[in-house]
Amino acid sequence: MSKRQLAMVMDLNKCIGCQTCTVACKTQWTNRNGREYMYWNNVETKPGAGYPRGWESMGGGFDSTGRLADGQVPSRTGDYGVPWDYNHDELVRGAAFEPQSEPRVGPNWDEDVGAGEFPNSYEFYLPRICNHCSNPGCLAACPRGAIFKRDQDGIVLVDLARCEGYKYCIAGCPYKKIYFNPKLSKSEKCIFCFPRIEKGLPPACAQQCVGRIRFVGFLDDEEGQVYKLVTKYKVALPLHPDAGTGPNVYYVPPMSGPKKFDKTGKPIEGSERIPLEYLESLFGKDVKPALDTLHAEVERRKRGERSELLDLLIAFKQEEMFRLPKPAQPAPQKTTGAFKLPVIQG
Amino acid sequence: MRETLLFSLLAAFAASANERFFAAEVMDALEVKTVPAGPRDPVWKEAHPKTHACAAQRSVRLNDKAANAELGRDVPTTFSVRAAATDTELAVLVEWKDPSKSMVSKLETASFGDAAAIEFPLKFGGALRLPHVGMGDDALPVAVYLERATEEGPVTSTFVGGGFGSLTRARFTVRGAMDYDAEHETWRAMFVRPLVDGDSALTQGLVPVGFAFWEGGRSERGGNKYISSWKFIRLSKYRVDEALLARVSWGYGLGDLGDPIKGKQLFEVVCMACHWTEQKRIAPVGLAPDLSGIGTYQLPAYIKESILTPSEVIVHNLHLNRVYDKSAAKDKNGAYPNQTLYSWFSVGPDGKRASKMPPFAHFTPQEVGEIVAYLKTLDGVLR
Repeated sequence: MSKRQLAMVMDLNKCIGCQTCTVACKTQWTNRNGREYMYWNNVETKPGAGYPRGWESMGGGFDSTGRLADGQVPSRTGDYGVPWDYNHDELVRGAAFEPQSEPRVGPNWDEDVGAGEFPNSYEFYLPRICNHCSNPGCLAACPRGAIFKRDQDGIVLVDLARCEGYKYCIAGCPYKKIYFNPKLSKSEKCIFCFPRIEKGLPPACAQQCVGRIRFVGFLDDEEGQVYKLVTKYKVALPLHPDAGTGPNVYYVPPMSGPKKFDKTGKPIEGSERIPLEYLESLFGKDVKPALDTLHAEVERRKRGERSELLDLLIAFKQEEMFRLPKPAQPAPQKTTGAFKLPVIQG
Repeated sequence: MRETLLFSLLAAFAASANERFFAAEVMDALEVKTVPAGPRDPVWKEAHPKTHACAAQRSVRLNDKAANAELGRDVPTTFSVRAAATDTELAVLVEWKDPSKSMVSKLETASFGDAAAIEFPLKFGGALRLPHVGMGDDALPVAVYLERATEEGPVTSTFVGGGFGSLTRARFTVRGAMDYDAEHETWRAMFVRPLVDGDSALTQGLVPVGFAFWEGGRSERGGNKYISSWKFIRLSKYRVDEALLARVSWGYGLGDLGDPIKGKQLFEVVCMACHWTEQKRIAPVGLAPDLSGIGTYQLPAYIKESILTPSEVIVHNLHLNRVYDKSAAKDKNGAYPNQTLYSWFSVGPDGKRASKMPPFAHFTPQEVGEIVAYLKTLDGVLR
């Protein structure tokens, strides 16, 4: 649909759920003008209901025949969550400490809950942005053709001049990563920081990631780390490929971590803490070969051999994680102060 | 003697066709010095109300689960209209029952507002056909006036439309007012516009007008709405355009329509290869317009003309990307191409658009009359 496609790879083995990406995005784009409730980037705990709550069962995307599937529009109070406050002012008068409205749901509501029974419980973090899909459900759903995919990089954007706020795009997105702005009465979404991309910079969420889990580059750039992780080593997989939209954010699935314990507290050899079936429900049937590759490379490294893949995933140099063309024209230089120093010619 | 008798019989016949058309589709505008001040102005009591039917828009299918679930629960739905005109302005008052008042919320993302809209063709009269009732078409655009209930009060907007998906904000002069009568569970919406507003002149004896309604409680917005067929406002100061009348009143004469049962048989053999009705669905969804409510929102003349000359009105399906071709190869970025089967028109080498529906000009007038008679029975209500 587009000539080239930008993509992001996120290594879930390194995500610590610190939400620095979330804050980077929020301060850059969504802390104002009716976007306050939106998280274009969020980090949720899996297994979990996520944000908006229950998004994985809200429909959208394409069915097995390639036809747009019906979907739901999440409710702000019931699914996204409205911030609440506490009665701090009344505490000095002896009131019991309580929230002013009933806290029912919020972004990251089920943080670190996960699944399974102690001591064999498990959880991992899943950072999510718009997937800038190859066949976007939001774009297909818009009756007005207000959503488009940029030719040069496949970034999916809303033409706010055409948008009438019908919210069919929200129903059509299987990831619920397009939001309704009640103040503008229009839909808005992650723009992959395209003004930064045009300056040769990665999106704010990727730049700020303290764990260096995010790689950014073009899918067809064979020298890029994104290409190597997605196409060469096939260890980065799309989330919910079954939704049929061809998502372009790829995840290195979490390796299982510590072994499970038996009743006496001894580790069970060969046990997998995170069930493979669960990972397959998120990332499809390619999880097993991807994990096998990762484990094989770890073993290779243990033997003292070199591993290009692990070197990539360690992310030694941040600048190598982002392969974006630099703009042809240098940005105008900022001058400091109102006066220019006189040039003394000798 | 015989010839005179025959002539007078024919005259009676013709008169009765027009009378039937006027009785069904035409409302008289009350002549007033100044237009009523609002929906509750007592002047409206003097205007004769006309009750019309509307049906859920089914020609194109949208993708909201909640709104589509409601489509299966359609009941026969009516609204009433009054019109009043001065020398320079036209006021239209629409009233419809709605037990639940729904408004666009400032905070809630999944809330939808009750709304009403009226449309006028930008050009009409003479032998010109009417624009497609679904917000006009490529060749003949319409002016749309919309009022929607929000928590901050009703909002009036104006648009120009050229078919599904084409609606574009445009500045027309309008005064809107919307009022909920809780006692009678009734919305009243009033629209006042100049008779002549730029290129849009309504200075004719028969002014075509279309209506649309949205029930916010049923998640209705955009294409999920109730629509009427073209109706007509009689402005007594102006002459009725006989050519327009002759064209749009076909189907109201006694001999125009045939046996709907025969029409149904013919329809099921020929037309159902592509079209859907509420009763029977054979073709894949979206291959051609769903005709479930067509009897309510199309005039017989339009149905007849679209059987005989389907390319005269090009109806757009929604976004082509709604269905992609999974049998084709993905491109290098992993995208499937669109399934062009669901485009309802083709573009010729000369750039001219042609409907993918072939003309059924070989049908006899009797067969056409039978099919139209059957389609006029389709009101979208599941029985």
